[in-house]
Amino acid sequence: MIDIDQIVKRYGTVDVLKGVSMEFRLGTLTALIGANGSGKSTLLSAVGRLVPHEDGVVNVAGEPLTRWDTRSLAQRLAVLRQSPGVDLRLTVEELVEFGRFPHNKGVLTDDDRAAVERAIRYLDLGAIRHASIHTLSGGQKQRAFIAMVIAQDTDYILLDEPLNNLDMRHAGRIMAVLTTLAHRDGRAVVVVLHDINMAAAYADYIVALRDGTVVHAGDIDSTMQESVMERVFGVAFPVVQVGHRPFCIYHMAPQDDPAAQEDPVDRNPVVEACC
Amino acid sequence: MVHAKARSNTRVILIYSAVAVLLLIMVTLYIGRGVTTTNAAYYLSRRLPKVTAMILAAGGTGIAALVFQTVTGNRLLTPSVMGIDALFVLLQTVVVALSGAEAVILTNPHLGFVVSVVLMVVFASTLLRVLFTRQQDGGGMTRVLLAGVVMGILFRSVSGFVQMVIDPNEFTVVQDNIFASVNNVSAPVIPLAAPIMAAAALIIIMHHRVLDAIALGRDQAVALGVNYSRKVGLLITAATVLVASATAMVGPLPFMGLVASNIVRHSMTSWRHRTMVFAVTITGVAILMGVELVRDFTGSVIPLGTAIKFMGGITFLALLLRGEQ
Repeated sequence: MIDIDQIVKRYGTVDVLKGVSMEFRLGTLTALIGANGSGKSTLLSAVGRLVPHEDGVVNVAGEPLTRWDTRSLAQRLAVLRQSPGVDLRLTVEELVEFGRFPHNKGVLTDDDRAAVERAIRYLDLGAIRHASIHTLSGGQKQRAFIAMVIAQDTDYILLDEPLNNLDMRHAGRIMAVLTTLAHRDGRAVVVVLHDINMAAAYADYIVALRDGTVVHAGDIDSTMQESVMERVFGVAFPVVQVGHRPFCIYHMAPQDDPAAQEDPVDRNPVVEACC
Repeated sequence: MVHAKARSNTRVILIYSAVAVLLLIMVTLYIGRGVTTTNAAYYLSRRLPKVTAMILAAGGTGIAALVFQTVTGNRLLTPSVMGIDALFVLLQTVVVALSGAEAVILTNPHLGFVVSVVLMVVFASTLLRVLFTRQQDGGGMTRVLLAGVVMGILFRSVSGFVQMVIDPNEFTVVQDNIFASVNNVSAPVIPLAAPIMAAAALIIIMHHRVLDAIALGRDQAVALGVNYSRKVGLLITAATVLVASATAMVGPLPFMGLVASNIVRHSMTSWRHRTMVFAVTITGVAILMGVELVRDFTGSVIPLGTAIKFMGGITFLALLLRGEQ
């Protein structure tokens, strides 16, 4: 279990996380949602020890983050930041093999190869496994990085916006794989998601952040309420029932359009003739 | 696509092996030219230290540049861009200005070498460690780069100022010391420099897989369990030791590391440091040896540093214009 207690993260004088507490249990998939700048990515990076936090405690498997040796932690916890880039000319397969680095320090064993094969299959990368990363589209690159994280084979998997750049088919497939990893293999999967309908369709729990504090945490039904959504995102939109799942129709939220309230800009000013 | 990549990699490795063989021939040529049984003792005592110094300096500068670029994630960053050469020049100038041309630090080669290396390593590794470990987010690298460039300018202008005000005779001594040359290498320094540089290179070679992971970027490396600040500190220090020793031995070789490492990064399809460290050593030695041989055969009076800068500049421009393939 990952247990977060009153964590504070400050950039300069701005508190990005103002004493956030929550827990991520093994066997569950938790979605972090919130508007831009709500602190969800920072929270994920702090829990994954990619950025230090100023105050509070993060316990991973009962041990505070600061006491973990970084390599031992990498064998238990995998973290992927949003849209990672890489400047190397490596192939998809070689990138996925890096996921085994915490276990083997770079020398592949048969077990490592099996884990790499599994990750490549889960992420549907077989056809492009020998393609160079820098020739891929944004979505293909994203899937290659997720495969690397899955090859790392950890109890805790933290992903920041894993569905960025992905088409519908691959987005759904990745969420299904993550659900299986959580429910069948008993891992704790935490994903920052932009699309709340994806969260509602696949997650067990949703944690909603706003301005660096948790405004709501609970299961799907308690979260997918119009009142909760308005508190989280600051706009009101209808939540309907599609099949057995709640569904947000955020495209139909009443918008205040500042452009429409202004006087039109004269784009063809008449140049007064001089002389 | 697999086959294409495998084939081109084999081809590149073949080319590098061919260059290595060529180098061997060049070295033999260089050492053996005009040697007869009567003059062998004298010629060899002059040429062997020279060749050893060239191999150490060129290989060390190349490896150091490669490590710097990987750690900083920037292909244009080398220890000399960070002002290490300028610091060496400043040290030489200040020593002469303060204690005259007869200073024991200048006349005793061992002492001079040790003092220069220690000061350069302490300066560079302190500056870099502070900058690297304190600033962990995106802006960090730009700041490191800027700090280095500004520091270089500062060192150069202080040196320039001191050189203006010192005695003209002393200035000649300074000038002799700050121009790269393999002819002034004092043989007694080599047994001291060689093991130090070998140890630093060994540390880097032993970390070749860690360097591969660091090349993915800081966050990825940390996520994969690399103890980032410790490993980066160690690798930067080792690279600084290499370049400081090379500079103290033959003088500043700006451009050298930059050109060698970029030739390797452009020509190789492999991103693995195991292969790149080997290739950059060969490339570095080939460049230095080639330039020195041409100078030697033509009896050119152009200083070594200038010749390398000229050739390096052209190569580098060509690489930039050709672009990524």
